[in-house]
Amino acid sequence: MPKIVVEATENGLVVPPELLREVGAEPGRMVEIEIRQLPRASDIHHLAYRYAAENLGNALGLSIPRFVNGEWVVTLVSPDGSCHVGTLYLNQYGEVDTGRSATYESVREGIHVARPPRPAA
Amino acid sequence: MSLVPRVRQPDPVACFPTCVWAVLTFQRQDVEYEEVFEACVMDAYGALDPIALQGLQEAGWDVEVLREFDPETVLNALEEERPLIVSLPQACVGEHLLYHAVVICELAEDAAVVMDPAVGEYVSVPLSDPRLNGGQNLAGGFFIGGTAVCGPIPPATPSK
Repeated sequence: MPKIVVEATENGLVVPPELLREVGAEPGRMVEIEIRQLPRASDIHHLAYRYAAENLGNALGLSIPRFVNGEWVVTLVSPDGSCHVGTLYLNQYGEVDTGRSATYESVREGIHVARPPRPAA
Repeated sequence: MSLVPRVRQPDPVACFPTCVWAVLTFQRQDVEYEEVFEACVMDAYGALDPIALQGLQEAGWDVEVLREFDPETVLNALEEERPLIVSLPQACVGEHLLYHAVVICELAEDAAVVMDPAVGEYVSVPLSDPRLNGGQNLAGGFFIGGTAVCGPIPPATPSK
């Protein structure tokens, strides 16, 4: 059986009719729906940060996650916000797709990495 | 409240080592900021948390990561002069949020007081603040400590 992610709205949940047709659930047929809450955008943001802090650099800026085509997309910028340095893709459970997401190397590729200056006295 | 030295970070990505230095200094440890900076293996994108924590351990300090937020743990640690260092989404750059390390100096029912190295001051953060996410965002923080050296708390400046 297919598994889909839909957004909870004030009017409830909307299951696309094409999906019902796909599984042979003609009008009048009873279907079972198991409801499970998935991470919110703020949860995804924190999970993306934890991933970035552990694998890419803990001073990167992270965009507000966008849910696009069944996955969360988080863009990364340099600490001063001057350049886009990569993207993280996370599934609906907040797991990072490491094959497609930014890596330590890709974040630093082509960008001068300077040691921060010594603190002032 | 734990009077962690109020100190400003020397550059925009150095909140992490600045917090570590502030806590170690609060614990009356004789430590130079440069030692902490080197141990954290910083670059222009900050540090990698596991590498930084390993570096701090190899430099001789005890590190304990808070896997799950539990107010009792944080309060007990505060009583033992082990304030929690945690990263919170604090600043915005365009549409992007930057996480920022701070030191939790006091934890009450409705608010936390943090030493914020961005401003070098104590700042009160309501626990209802979405940045804390009901305390969930405090998980992943860490305690640092080591052998204390008796004496007065040194001046609050991360300098030689």
